Amino acid sequence: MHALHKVLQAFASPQSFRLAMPDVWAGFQVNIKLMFTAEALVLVLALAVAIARGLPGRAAAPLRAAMILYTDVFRGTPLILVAFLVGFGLPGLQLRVISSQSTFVYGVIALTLVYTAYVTEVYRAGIESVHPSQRAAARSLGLNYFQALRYVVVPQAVRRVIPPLLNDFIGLQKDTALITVIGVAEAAQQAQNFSNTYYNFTSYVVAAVFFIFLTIPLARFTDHLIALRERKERAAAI
Amino acid sequence: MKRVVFLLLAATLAGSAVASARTAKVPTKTPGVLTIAFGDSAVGFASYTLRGNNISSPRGYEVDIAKAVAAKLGLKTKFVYTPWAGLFAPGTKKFDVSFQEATITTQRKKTVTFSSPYLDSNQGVLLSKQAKTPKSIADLKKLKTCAQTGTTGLDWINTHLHPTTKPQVYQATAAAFTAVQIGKCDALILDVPIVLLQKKAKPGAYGKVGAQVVTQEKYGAVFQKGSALATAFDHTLAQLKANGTIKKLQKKWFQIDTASIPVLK
Repeated sequence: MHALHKVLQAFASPQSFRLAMPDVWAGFQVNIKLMFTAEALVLVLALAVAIARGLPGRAAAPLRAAMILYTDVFRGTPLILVAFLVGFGLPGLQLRVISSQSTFVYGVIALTLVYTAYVTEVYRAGIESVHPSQRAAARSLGLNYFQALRYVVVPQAVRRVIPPLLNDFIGLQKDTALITVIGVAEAAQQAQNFSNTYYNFTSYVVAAVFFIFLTIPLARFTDHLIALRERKERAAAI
Repeated sequence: MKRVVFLLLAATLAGSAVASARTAKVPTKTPGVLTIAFGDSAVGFASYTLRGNNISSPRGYEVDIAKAVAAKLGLKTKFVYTPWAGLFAPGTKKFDVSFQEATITTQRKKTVTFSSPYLDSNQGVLLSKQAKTPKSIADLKKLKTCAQTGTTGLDWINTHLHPTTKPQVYQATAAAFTAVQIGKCDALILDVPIVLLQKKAKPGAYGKVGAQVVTQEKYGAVFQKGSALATAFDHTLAQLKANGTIKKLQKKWFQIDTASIPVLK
């Protein structure tokens, strides 16, 4: 009983919950901003990288190679290292525009660099899953390469990969907490400040609860999309 | 022959009895060894080379105090690294004593035991090269401030300064210094002696230590809450103060003039 009380006191004391809530919430809003800004960039940039990676012909070979190098490097580098490199490295260069951004911007850059590499692979899998006959049919109708991509291949591809895209989105959302290392006052940092002041860990639980409440609707939405597609495809098969 | 063996046996027994009496007097994690933990390398206090968790060739004021106390207690020394974040978390500690320029506060006393003070300190303002020197608290409020997590400096920013933009908070001292160096932060609020010594070690990297605020802090060594070692440690520290060793060490390591830094009101 005593032990249980001790655990509850350290991790879930109602008083600390109330005390930590405002600061952690203020921090969590930064996480939300980080997440949406980075995600918007990631969705666009990753599609561009995926398409560049799939370009045919010898002329596009250097571009393909560059894109492969990019995805290999940034999928293989831990986010925390990229955050240090961007958050301390870029300002350290003391160049005009690059070095004078806010830590928030550096956070977005780090998240975008890493997650674009992941999401590129998701898009690529989607694009490759569209049957080649679709592309051939589109070309035979007189659409050029990019028109075929734009009107035939990409719409089908994106629809197929929405669940894994949302999955990566959830990952991104959680990883915004890592940006604390470059000094962004986000939820994990606010929680740590509280914990360092009062030697109570409830603040971390508060932050965790915020993250969970944000992911659960997203996870259910993903489930819903998968179910919807399955129904549609079965109906088509019958 | 039998007698010789007996004598030898008696001697060993007596010897081990003496040894155990001594270790019983000074209760350390490893008998006969004082495990001393330092935090982030701080020039003048404790700077060192780190390999894994082991510290080699440490030098500084805190190192000398630790060595002097260990010698007086008849203990060998072992130096290890312990991160600052988590130093005051309740629970078992992996060290016997830790020196991290930690200010003694009532809040911290709830979770750890402190030695008697070994240095007095105030909060200093280390400026970036671009920052304008603040002439008042109101000036300082407008600067981009930063601090290390869990420090009295951060506390002071949050409870007294209330700057216009939220302070940037870093996990390690080194990251906070880097932020000032690259201009991400205009004013680092950290203990005066720490920032003064850092500025002295890398004069070209930062602006000046432009101001200080009087907080009248006292540094204490940190023990696990209720550690039986603390009493013996304090007793020895008192002896070192009385015989002038502490004063001599301060002179040796801190050739800094804190009085010449303007005090902000």
